[in-house]
Order: sequence, then structure tokens, then C-alpha cells
Amino acid sequence: MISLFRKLSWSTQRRQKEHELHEELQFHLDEEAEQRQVEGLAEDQATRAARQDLGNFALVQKSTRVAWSWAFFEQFLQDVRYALRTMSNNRAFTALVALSLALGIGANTAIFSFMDSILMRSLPVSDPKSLARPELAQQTT
Amino acid sequence: MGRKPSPRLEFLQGTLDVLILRTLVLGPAHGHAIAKHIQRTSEDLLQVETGSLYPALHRLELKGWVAASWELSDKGKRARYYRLTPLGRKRLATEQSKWEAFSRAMGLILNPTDQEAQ
Repeated sequence: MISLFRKLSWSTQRRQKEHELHEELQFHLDEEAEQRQVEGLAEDQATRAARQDLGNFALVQKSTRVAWSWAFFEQFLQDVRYALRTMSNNRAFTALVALSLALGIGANTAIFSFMDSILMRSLPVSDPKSLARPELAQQTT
Repeated sequence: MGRKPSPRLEFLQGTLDVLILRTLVLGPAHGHAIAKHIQRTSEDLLQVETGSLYPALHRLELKGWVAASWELSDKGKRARYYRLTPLGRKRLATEQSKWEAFSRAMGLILNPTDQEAQ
């Protein structure tokens, strides 16, 4: 619950978070390079080694961002938009699909409700015709 | 610049979180220091990949187990320092006892010396 609120507040300051993450990772790089220099590497070599140690900068950024973004939700929206786009590009196909789905579902529903009423809902007695419904006769005076 | 092939242990899922929380018991630290501390303390057996460290730190922050703030490092540079929160401390206690139970169970099964001797 706390994390949901935090996530909401983070998403309003997205640009700043992005910037901070960049600075944080840059600091990590500098620190690593500095340490390698202390261990006896030349400056450019140390920088390169630090970069290599960190791996793909953009990838680290991206996978960290996943922790505080709505990655799942955003990707889902992307997928929905993509589907709508593809469908509107191919109207005839979409119409055909919608029609066959409608017919299929409609036919199934019709047949099922028919079968349901005659097979499933038949009375649970051996001779339904002999059933009678007693009623109180109104007294006529 | 080839890496020496050394026996590095792979992390079990969720291990990194515990290691980070435990490291922060010693006081606030930035990402690089956390990674180095874990590596040093484990006698280089555990190597923390940057690609998993920062996502983990941000995830822990999101859960409220650590808090982060920008402070000056001992060399005078701006760094993002992570601090253990009371919630994180509680979490660490639970995780730690879980780990101890697990490693005891593994030890009992892998080295059943007592039973075999009997």
C-alpha cells in the first residue's frame, strides 16, 4: 500500500527521477574508475574498465526504471494501441472477424438456450404430464 | 583485461535484498560502497552486478525498506545514500531467520555426519 502511494508520487516527478538515476549511475562509474586508478591503472584504462564492469549503461538505467515505473501497464496500453491500429488498417478483415465471431456466439447462445430448456430444465419427475397443481377453490355464496 | 575465471556464486532469488539490508545496518551507504562491501565481506565470492544492484535498491526504496537521500560523499561528491528504515530493519530480521533456518536445513542434509556415524 505504501509502495503504491510512493509509486504514484514518483510518477509525477518522472523527469527528475530519470535525471537522478543518471547521476547516481554516473557516480558509481566515477567511483569505480577512481578505485581502479588507486589499484594502479592509468586514467583512461580505469575509466574503460569501470564502464566494462558496469555493463550497458542504458540497460542498467532501463531495468532500474522498471522498478518505479508502470512498465507493465504502459506495455499493455502499447499493445492495445497496436492492436487497434492494425485493425483499422485492415477494415475488411476486422469486419469479417467480428461478423464470424458474432454469428458464432449468437448461434451458440441460441442453441444452448434451446437445449437448456428442453434437456436441462425438464422436471425431475418420471411423468411430468400427470402433475397437478392444487388450488383453493373460491367459495361462491 | 580478461576476467580471471574464479568460482563466483550465483545469487539465489531474493538474496541480494537481504545482503543490501544487512550491509545498511552498518550505516548509510551509496550503491558503489554497498556492492564493494558485499564483495569484500564475502571474500570475493559474491560479485554484485550493477545491473541488478540498482534495480534492487530502487525496489527496496519503493517498498519503504530503505530511504534514499543525496549527500556529499567522503570525497566531497554528491552521492545517493541509502539508509535502513525501521520497516527495513524488521524485514531484515524475518529474512535473516528464514535464511538461517534454510542454511541449517541444507547443512543437515548435505552433511548428515551424526546420523551416518550411528
